Amino acid sequence: MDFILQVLIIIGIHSILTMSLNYVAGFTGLMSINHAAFYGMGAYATAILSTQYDWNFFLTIPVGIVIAGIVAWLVSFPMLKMKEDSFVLVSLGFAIIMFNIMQNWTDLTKGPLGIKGVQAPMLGDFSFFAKPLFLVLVIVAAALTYWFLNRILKTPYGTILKGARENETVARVNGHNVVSYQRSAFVVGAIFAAIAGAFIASFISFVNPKAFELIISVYLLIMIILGGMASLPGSILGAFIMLTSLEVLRFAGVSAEWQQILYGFILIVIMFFRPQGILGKYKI
Amino acid sequence: MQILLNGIIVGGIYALIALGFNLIFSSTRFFHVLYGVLALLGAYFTYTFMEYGWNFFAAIPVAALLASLLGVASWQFLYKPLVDRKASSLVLMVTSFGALIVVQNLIALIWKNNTKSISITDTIKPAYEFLGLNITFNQLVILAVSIVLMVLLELFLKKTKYGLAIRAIGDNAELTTVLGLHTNRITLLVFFIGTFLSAVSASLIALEIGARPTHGLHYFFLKAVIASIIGGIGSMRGALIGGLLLGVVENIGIYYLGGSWQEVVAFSLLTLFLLFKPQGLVNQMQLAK
Amino acid sequence: MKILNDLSFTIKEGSITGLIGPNGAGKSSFFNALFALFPSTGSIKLEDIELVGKTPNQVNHLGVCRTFQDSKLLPQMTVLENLMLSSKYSETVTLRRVFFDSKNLSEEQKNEQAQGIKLLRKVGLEKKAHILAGDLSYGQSKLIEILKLFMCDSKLILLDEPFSGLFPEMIKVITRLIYELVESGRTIIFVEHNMKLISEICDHVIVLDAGTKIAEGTFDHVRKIPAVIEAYLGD
Repeated sequence: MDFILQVLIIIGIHSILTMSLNYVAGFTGLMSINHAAFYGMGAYATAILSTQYDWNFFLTIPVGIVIAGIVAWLVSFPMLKMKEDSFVLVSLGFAIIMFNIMQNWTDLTKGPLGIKGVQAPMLGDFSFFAKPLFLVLVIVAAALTYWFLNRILKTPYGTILKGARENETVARVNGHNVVSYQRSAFVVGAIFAAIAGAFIASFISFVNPKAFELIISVYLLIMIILGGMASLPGSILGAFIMLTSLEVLRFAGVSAEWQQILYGFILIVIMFFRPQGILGKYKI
Repeated sequence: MQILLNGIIVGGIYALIALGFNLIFSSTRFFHVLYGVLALLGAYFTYTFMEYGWNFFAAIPVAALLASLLGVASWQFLYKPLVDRKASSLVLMVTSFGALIVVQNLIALIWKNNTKSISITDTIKPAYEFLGLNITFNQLVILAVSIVLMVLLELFLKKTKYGLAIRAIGDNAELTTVLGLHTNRITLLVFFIGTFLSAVSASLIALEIGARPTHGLHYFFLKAVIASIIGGIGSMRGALIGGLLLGVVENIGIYYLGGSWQEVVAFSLLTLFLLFKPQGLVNQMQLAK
Repeated sequence: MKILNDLSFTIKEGSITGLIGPNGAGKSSFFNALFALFPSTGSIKLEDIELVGKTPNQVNHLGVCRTFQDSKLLPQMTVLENLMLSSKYSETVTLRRVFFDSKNLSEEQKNEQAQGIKLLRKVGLEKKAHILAGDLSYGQSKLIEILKLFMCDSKLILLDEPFSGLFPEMIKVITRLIYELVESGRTIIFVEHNMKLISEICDHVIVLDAGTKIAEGTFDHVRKIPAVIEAYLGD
């Protein structure tokens, strides 16, 4: 039971990641593979502030949000100048640079050793350490994420995001400042990734760079490609499928390498037979 | 000056890797991410042959040949079916990524995750001195083979019928398709040559850095892309200049900042170019809007 | 490479002008340049406002709308969504309003969508409102492209071969819509190869060849000018 709660918590946290990534990639059309970098920023903000300065978990979240938001905003300037495929490349570069910073800026992040002892969330004397309570917290966060993103997507704002994805020229000719919409989507995506990061830091109570390396961003992309591009329920589905299959495979003794081979294979199969994913509304 | 020499020798390898990549890119117009891992496979094949007692110089061509066949197969069986279905370059890139994950992990399964090293001889050879600069035996070999390959490639592109066709395709892919020049046979050839160059380069640089599964993406593919963008994607001249420049700047960076920031130096150079000169130094294709 | 040279003409407000010329004369390029879809040097003025240096969306805000030669409806979005995209209203929906003004927003959104459906009803396509635009026939998508112009609040409309590839019935419908647009106070410039339509619809014709204006006037006047005949003979 305890184990199931753990898996659900991880799925919940990853749902926040996949929904926000889908907002950026599936709805707005920015194929970002640097999502884990913002995930990491949120996690490190929480880890550093709570272990070194004794901050309350809930107060560390806004800090992570602000940091991720500002970095996303800044980085969007060069990134959004790139055409489709080249955008992916710069995104890759940014992910690697962020990883290197986490590894090498040891004064701040303690490098590969990581930061231990991140506390569970507390409100006064009440602790959310117990798994059922933490799960409730995560579900609330995921639900808020869904509500927030869905709200936007149902309005003409969302239509413009999709229009920018489909054909930037047409969107521009219709009077929309495409770059500023893309920028806003990128920043919003980063913010929710940072929120997820705060939760993972507290749950695992340990952060280190390896949790935010490039392959994690790729996994997130596989989750939304599988579950469905441009679909919020699809994002949750993708996270669910990949994470439960990960546990099942691990249980069956399948090595990490074979797991990854499976995921790579799934990616190829999806591209060949169903590029929009299971519940998806958008084909790349 | 020593830094410059070291930079040029490594840069030569980067240039070869970028040349192969550009050859393929100008013909197919998508990012064949799998490229780096196939190059790495060439290095692993070389390692394995040498484990069986082969001589380094005998192992490389055979290893590169094997890798090239896989490169050709990736076009024929992985990409071409999608291209025939009018798949976008993004779909091809994602597919390539999937293949990369598969092959990289197969490498990890077969050869394990630790770094494999290759050396040409069993004894440690002394470094040579030339005009006040040090050059090791390995570096000499790398330099020599790089130069030979580049000259052969140049001759091929300038003097042979196929070479001219390939250059024409690089200049104008649509027109050459209409003219019937851009045949599947040429694309297969391009994949063969490109993979061959990268596989030999990977084996050579393995003398210095060994071979590990993550090198495919994090080293070979990234170097190819960065050098190509600096030089100008789609340009042979550009790949050469880009590779050499990357090698030199990296070595300067390592000297002043230390080895752990090497990736950051390389990527910062990439970002600067993408920001200010996205078409590269030799002004070929448009990567920015 | 110079594509357009010293193009200058005055167009009467509320008129329909035809832009004709042999292939490669620069007609579509003129539209693209006006909309800053490629960088230009020199000067392009709309009522004394300089367009060179502006971005496409800024040009649109100055009151210009256009269609494209090949239907540029967004295939993976619905017909209604495509119409909404051209609506001036969509720009007013900021993120702040999404969260803090949601009541008004949903009212307004309903109205906009009702307007869109009314437009579709005009041409009998209201049932297609929620169909993906990629599933429309060629003729239907050309129709929707014109309908988009009703949603966009513009003074000047540029149509790039609005009649190409259409059957006569469809041509009649589109002609009717164009007249309607003019009646509501808009000015229209359109590129066409079909001379019969040009002679029927246009008040004024401009002839382009190799990036320069070689003639201007009514259709009857222009078709007799030797330079024009020569330009077409060479085509």
